[in-house]
Amino acid sequence: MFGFNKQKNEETEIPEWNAELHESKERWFTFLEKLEAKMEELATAAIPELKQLLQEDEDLYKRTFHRVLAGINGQLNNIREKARDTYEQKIDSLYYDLNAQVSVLSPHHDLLSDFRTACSDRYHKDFEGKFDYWSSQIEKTQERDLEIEYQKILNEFENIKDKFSCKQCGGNITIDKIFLIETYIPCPYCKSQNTFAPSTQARMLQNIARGLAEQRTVHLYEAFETENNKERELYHQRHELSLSKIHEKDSKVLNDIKTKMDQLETDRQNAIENAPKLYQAYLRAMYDEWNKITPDLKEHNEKMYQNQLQYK
Amino acid sequence: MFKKLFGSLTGNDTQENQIEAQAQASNDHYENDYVNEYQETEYDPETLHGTHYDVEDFDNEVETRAEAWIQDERDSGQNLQDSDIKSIYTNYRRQVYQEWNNCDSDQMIRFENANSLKYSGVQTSGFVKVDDNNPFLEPVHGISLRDYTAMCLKISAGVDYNEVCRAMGIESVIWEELNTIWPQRMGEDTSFTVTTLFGQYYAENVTLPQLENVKAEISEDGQANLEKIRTDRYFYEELAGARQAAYEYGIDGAQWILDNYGINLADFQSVAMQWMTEQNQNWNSEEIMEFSNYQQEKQKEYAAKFAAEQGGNVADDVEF
Repeated sequence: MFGFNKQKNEETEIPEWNAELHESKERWFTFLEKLEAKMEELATAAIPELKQLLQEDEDLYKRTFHRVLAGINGQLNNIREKARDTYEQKIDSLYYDLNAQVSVLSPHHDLLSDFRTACSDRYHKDFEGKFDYWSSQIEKTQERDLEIEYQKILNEFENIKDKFSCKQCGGNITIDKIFLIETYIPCPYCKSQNTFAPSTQARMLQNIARGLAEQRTVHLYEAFETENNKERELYHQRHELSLSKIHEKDSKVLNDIKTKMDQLETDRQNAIENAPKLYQAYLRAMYDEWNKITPDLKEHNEKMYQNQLQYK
Repeated sequence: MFKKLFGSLTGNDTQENQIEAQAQASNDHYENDYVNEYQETEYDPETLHGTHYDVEDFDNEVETRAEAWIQDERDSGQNLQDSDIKSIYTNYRRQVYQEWNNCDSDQMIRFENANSLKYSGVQTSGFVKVDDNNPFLEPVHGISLRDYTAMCLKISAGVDYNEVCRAMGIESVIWEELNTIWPQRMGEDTSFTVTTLFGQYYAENVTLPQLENVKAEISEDGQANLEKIRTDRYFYEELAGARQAAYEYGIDGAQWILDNYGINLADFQSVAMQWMTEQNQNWNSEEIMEFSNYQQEKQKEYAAKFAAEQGGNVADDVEF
């Protein structure tokens, strides 16, 4: 009568397409699991090989290492693309297909949106999280302790600095600092010009100097990063509190919340003010360290420092 | 597993790392034949301002609108930073330009490229404006930026630097100084005049009478392919896509281009710069998109080819 029963049936009966959703979801989860296993397999095999390659690569620019690294990243990205393409073809398209048929007012529409949320979370949160993790682990294989390389350059310099002699009169010429490029040096005895050519290793000093300075000041950079991230964290904490006020009637509780919120806002403003100061402290220390390593580049570096301060 | 994946790791990699892809950007090759739906406006060829108004009036109008907005923001308690003020000006400049010239956004971008130095203090390739007294452009040991670029072109094409120095009549000590000072100036110059001009000379493949006889070896096929990437944009995009795909499969892409098409890195980068400069000058978003899609398509094709050579990708056997 009046079609009430019919409506009731529609509400309680699980629609046919739900089985398809269920199956797709299962398949999607298994598919991602397999891809994650592949990522892990690739990365765990690649990381030790990459580390070894970096150590053994005699080339100053480590080109072989970088080529292999690019290849590993290519494979990792290939896995990620496979997930993305499959998500579009199998999950998104199924969702949009059904969404066009099922009204948002239908009591079963929830099944559809739950399907999408579950598949999306599994993909965007879990799978992508694992991708980021492996990707950063692979990136880390590039890190090398530059102190060791620097020490080698210093040792070499100690070794050669008194062994250079004038090509004209044979007099001893002391090399008083690490030259980065070929340089004319006058003989203190006969005054003739000699060309001093630094070794390939010594030339590399200008390529590693900044990295070494950064390595030595990394604690200052991290302090800046921590302070810089506070702004968003405090903002979200404050936002959470403001939501908790909505259904609160008790004026004492409301007052407490307000006090906490005000404090968070003060902290947030402090973070906004402090972060640039910490950045400047880091930058100055890093350049000081850099100038110590390559004093010849100081004039140039100071100009770069000024530019960086201005355009940060 | 990497032996199978990447084949031989110990190839000759002289081509790599000499110059990083300065200009991967896609661009287009057409002589101002884009369709402009708003043809009625006549533009000054230098500034790309409409000829029906004075530039001064334009700048004043932008300033009036921008300052009014800035005042409003400040009155409502907003704390504006320099970067905010800059973008307020940029937005009004775009708005006034489009209103006064009744033009599309491509024309507006061409205008911004032509005026980048004036309005944002930064040079754009294809529109470099040089002040005679720019200290960054003072010759070093008598070698101008143009001369230096000509030398770099020879060296990155594979000619030994000693040979280039001999032809120029300078000692290698001087070359090393040049090769330190010019790159330092590029770093220090916040208007990017030195860098952009270097890129432009590079794209023009500049040369000097002294260097005429110093030539990198290039095969007949290589010469023909080089000519083709200079004139056939699609062919250039195909090779750019292939090169990119090669790197993703652990292959030295620049070396791959040399081995298979006989084009060295210097020539390839020079052509890349040439297309980028033209793209800046004749900004057309539709064509940019078309070439970019074409390159991606080709990249995929070559990726499939490289994957097949290496016995497939690691996740090929995973099915939905």
